[in-house]
Amino acid sequence: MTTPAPTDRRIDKLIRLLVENATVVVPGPKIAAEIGVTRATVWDWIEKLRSLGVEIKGHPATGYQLARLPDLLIPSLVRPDIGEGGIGHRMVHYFRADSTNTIALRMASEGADHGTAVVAEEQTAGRGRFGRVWYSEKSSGIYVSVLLRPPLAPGAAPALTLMAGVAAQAAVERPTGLVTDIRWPNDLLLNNKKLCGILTEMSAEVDRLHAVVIGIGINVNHREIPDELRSIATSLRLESGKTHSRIQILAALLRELEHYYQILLKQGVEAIVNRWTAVSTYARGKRIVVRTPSGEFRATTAGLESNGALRLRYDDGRVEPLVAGEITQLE
Amino acid sequence: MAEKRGSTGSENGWELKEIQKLIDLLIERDVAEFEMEKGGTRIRVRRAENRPVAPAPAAPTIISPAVLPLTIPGVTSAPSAPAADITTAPAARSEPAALPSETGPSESTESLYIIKSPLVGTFYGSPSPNAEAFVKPGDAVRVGQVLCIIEAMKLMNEIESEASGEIVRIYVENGQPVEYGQSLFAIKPSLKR
Repeated sequence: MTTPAPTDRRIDKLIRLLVENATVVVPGPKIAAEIGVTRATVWDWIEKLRSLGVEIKGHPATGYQLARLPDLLIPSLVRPDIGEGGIGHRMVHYFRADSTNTIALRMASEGADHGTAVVAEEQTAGRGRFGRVWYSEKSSGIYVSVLLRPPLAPGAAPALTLMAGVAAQAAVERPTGLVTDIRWPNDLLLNNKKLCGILTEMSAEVDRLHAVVIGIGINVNHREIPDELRSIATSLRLESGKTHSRIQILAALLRELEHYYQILLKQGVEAIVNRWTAVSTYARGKRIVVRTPSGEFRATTAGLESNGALRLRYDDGRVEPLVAGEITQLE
Repeated sequence: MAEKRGSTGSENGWELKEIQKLIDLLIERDVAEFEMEKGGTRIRVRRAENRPVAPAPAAPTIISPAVLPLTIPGVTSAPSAPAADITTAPAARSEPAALPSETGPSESTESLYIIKSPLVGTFYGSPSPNAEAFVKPGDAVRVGQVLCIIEAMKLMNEIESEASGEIVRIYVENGQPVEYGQSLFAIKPSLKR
């Protein structure tokens, strides 16, 4: 796996076979015949899955049985929980990818469909804003990029970032019960620490939008956060004290993305802005510092503009919408 | 349209094609001003010096004793008049940058290709604050090469070059807010003949 490649669909089949026969030991030759590989390959893949934390009992002589359902984000395990034809109708899974956004953007340029989702168990070059690294621990987080081809003018596309934020918030809350805050435009926070980051990249000409790729990273079952991030980042596990099903959260995420995407298209930006305003403490009256290329400024939030820009009342009295820039809460 | 005017012109000694060729030649040789008389009609071509773009393209000024019905718009707007297809006006909202299809591949046009912002946002000239700029004036770029990033609400739009050629001007500075349709770069397309 030095060159990242999508997961062999037959591994997907192998896992599904084990899941469907979870109560019995499945003989190696039967698996080999059903998925169309040699018994040696079955053995290799079983070992590979074990190394990824999938608990499989047995060996080549006896056959194999799952000790418990694996929390892998492979299509056969995630797809049953999402609707037909919506975002995620096509899923491309990687055990290891450089960056799901990079892959999705490349697929977009090669003509991939609206709704394609690229999922990785691990990213070796997960990206944030301005090439910052997104810490992407193996099989602990959800690293997914969805490719959209919205019928929007490029100028209306930024609303998709708020849309992704409210969708991610709902997706975390549904299976876990954990209510996160949204920091403009779309960081999810728990106890003021970030647990979900969203990087949206667009390919467009001045009057034509080709594709938008929304990359979402959610820290789910991380037991530890690297020292340099510990004061600003967290995971669902660290905040709740228990592990959560990544499959359930990913499936919820794909469903919520479809749900709010339809709201955006049918009801317009206003509906998304209203939802965002209702579920974020950053919408109004939040004391913040804004960092822009021209400097740092203190301000108080004063609602969203109709296009989703954050209206700020700066301490010097100016009231202006913020279109781009990083904000952090003032202590 | 221009061809018709051109035929009118021929009665007075000038063919539109001749004027176009002349302008092409003057640009190619970098001649600032030129004047010539033929068949009783005098034509003067002068290239403006204080255009906002570096290698000022030819601005044809036709001085003639009224006998020549050639008008500048007839020349400048005609796709078949390559040398006069001048794209210097920054960012008219409704006018997208000249598309390659508007200037045929056979034309050695000196018109500048203006890359404009597709959205309201912040302009970034480099991939990260400490990184080198994507491009600087004088750089050769090719179609599809990333020129800058425009960010709006954490939506990053990598602006790719729609033309191959040389960056002759960058209209905005790093971190500057930009409007929809605002000119970002002027590119002198490489000559294809």
